[in-house]
Amino acid sequence: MTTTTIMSHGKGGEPPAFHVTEEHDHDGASTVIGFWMFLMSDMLLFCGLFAIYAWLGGHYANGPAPLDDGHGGQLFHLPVVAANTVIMLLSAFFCTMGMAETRKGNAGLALKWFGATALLGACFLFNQFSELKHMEAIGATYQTSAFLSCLITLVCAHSLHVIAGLVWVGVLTVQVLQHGLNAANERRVVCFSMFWNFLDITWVCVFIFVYLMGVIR
Amino acid sequence: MSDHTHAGHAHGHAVTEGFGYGSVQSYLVGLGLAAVLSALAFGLVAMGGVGSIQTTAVVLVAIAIARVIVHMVCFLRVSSCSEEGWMMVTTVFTVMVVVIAMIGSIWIMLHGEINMMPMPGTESFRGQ
Amino acid sequence: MSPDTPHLDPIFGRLTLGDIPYHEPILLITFAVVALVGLAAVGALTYFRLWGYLWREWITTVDHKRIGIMYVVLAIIMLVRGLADAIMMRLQQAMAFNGSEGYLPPHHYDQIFTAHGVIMIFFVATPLIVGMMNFVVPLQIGARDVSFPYLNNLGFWLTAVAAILVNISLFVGEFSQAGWVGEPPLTGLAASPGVGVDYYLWALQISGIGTTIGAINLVATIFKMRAPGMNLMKMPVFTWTSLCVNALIVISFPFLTISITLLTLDRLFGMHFFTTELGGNPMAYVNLVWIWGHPEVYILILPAFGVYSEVAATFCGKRLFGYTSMVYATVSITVLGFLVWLHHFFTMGSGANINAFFGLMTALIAIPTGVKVYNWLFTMYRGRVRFDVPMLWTISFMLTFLLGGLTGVLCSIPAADFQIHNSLFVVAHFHNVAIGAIVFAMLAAIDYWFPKAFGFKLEPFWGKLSVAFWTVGFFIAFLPIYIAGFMGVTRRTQSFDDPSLQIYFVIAAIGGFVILLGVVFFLIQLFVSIVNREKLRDTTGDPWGGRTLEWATSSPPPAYNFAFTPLVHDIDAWTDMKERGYRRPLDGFKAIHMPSNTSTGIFLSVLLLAFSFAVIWFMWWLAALSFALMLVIGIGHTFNYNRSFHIPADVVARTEGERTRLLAQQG
Repeated sequence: MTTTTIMSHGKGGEPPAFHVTEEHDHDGASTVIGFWMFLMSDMLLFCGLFAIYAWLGGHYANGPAPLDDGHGGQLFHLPVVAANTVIMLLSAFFCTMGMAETRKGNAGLALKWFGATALLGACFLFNQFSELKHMEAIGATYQTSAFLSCLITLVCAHSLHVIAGLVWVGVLTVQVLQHGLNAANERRVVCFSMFWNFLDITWVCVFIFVYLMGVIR
Repeated sequence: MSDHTHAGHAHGHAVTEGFGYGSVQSYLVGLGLAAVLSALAFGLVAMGGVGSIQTTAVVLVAIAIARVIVHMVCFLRVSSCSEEGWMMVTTVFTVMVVVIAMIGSIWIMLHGEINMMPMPGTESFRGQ
Repeated sequence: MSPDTPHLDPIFGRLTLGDIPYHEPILLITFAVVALVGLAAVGALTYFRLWGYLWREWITTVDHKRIGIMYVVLAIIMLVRGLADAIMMRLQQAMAFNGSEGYLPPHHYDQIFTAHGVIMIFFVATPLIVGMMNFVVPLQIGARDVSFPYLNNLGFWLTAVAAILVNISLFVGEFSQAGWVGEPPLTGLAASPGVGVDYYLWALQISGIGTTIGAINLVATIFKMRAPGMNLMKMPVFTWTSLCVNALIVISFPFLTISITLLTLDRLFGMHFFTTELGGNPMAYVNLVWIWGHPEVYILILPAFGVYSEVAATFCGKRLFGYTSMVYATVSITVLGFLVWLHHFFTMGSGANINAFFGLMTALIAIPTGVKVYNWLFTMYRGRVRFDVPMLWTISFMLTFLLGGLTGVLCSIPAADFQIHNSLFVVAHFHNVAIGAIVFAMLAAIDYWFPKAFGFKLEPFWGKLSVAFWTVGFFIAFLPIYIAGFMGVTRRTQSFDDPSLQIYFVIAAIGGFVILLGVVFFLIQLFVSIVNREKLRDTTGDPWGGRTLEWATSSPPPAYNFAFTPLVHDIDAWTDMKERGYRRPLDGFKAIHMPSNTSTGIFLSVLLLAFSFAVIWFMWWLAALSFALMLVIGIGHTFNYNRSFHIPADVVARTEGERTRLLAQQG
């Protein structure tokens, strides 16, 4: 793809040049756009989940509903959701800072930011799973109603992405420690940072379209 | 879009050059805006909404869209020139399909619920 | 049976000896034949010591050309299976009259029509188009490889193991009996407790992942690896259609993934997405799956349009008429393809407004499609048309497709659709388009690009016979089905009560056999051409007088495609080069950077096959084991930083020198 010098063949350069004579390797030139396309298709996966939630999310089948868990309380605990929103936003910010440090070549500092990102990710997961445990305890399981099937699948799909992110950042840390911030690792950091920001974007949709929309009257 | 001037090759980060890096300043702006928007959404619901359910829902959707845009612009640095514009093209195409699929599905569902016999289990609220 | 059933065998899950259908003679004979052919193949490979060659040069390859060829070979093998299903159905329907149940009981017949649909769409049409795009696109854009060669290999193997999973279901257990889109509640646990639907779901899931991976790779390739000078409006039309198709795949396949994932959750965990109780709604599945399903139709047909555009321009000896309108038509079909999905369920009952909107959108697609047909016709007009086999396919397509397109517009009218919905008329319509456009295009593409891939042309005599028999057979087989469908015969029917209908099915069965002869002639064509390959050899690299860059290099192309990256000045880059006195560079070769082979793709795919087989049969230990191994191998792969090598300059010089010699010999 990269042209530096063009040599022309033929007398006096009359026919134009039909090939380039010097080129560079372009290893990984497509990684960022390729990974972006993967994220776009992942976004559509969530779009499918949201579409199903829009369709079936109101079908409580006489079971628990957002404002009434059947035990005199609310099924949606907004303080937990708010805490998770803060955690997700901060972790996305930390992750972006880590990418900025990568750009400057500060591997150590970058890894610290990513460590903080992972820590927040773990907190987020802890909150999510305590919520699911609580729901299970009051009999709100994925078999109870279409609403709960949709809700739990959507939330778990997001959490699975967070788990994947945690595994990824762990592997990436080992690789940066082994090889430093070489070109391949820098690409991976950029992709990871895109992935983690994407998780926050998905969470924004979850908390607004599912949780907040669920409790407005 | 196919203009292959690669000034970026001069420095050592050719492989990720297409991806926009922002400054710490832009990240902080993003953080602030995102925090304000999220707080606004939660505050709105905590106050019991504005007017009818429909109005509140519309405001919430607007906040969600704004929040996603803030994220894309300030953190992900998606702009019309990242990756020779392809990032923007793919994003716009995806968003178009998201909009078509969501609006279409909801539209089909609403008319279906009006025109068809209700399925069991669609009781909209517990015990009522 | 649900996973919670108490009497699960700890090792074999719910798989018992009773699940092996050794009591069904048809399957037993099939199994014997498959086993014999398989043993013969293994024996031959061992005898000729080809295992190492196969492993190094094909199985682990990251060369886009070889991966493309493997896709096409997979598709041709699966075409034979899908066609056998078709012939069995035609025979059954011709026989099952006057109280006769035919020779296939409903349980078996229902599996056959489901398998036929799934195989033809996912394992014949899709691998054919993906294979063609893989082979041709990098050559057409003057690239040396694709953006993600390793993912390319992985994508192929995922498709291949998904095809293997479908075939396993033939001999272990059963296949789905619920039609190729698998609509609940029929595919729900209550109505289909067996493993058939699980096989269906996992096969689709794996092939969907493979297709998506391949598509991301090709879009990135077209975005980033075009030869300098080739801006968007100088891309060959086939590359344009490939770009749109792969974008469509990336955007629409997530909807398939999510629909079948949710159905799997319903079946595995007893969730309530698409059940008929506790708030589930089967129509939600239908809606979601057709958001994928309709774009899928365009995914299959746009590359076909690309092939016809290339063939028409080449064999009429002039530039494609209306290049720009062709591009805009392709892009508008891409976008409109997302706005029509409800026409698959007009009769669901969403109401007149919605039906009117989606009906109008569907009819609108006829406009860009019509533009394309006129462009091909005007390309032929006053051209020097050479009636080689690919051109014959194109002409046959234009006639057949016109009929298919018109019946499609007919189906798009909601009021008419209430009459023909779920009837054989619809079956005839989509076979008209699928055979008349997709299959003909792929057979044309095989004929057209075969010399590029293997260095010799295909024998035209058998090719022409194949065109004739396919075309005539198609009309004999499907015109009676149109008529029967218009009179209200429903699709997927195992036996009939009304004896006056039998004549249509007898004629259709005869047509089926004529098509079978068309396929046999195609296979003979391959065989005869391989035997006579020295006589059919092409040393020029440009046997048809081609117009695009793939014809600028040798046949078969060297591993690196182009010794020097071409510089593009015109839409028909190669014609431009020929006309302006391009001379092949004979010296100054440099080392070329290429990706190395990898075995991760096949290992991951085989493990995923084991994982899905384990989940289908509830063998939880195997599922856990294969999943853990997948993680280890997948993550292990990322620790390999050494993924490319250089082809030394003297090797390049030797390869190019050999070509110079051949060209000189040729005069």
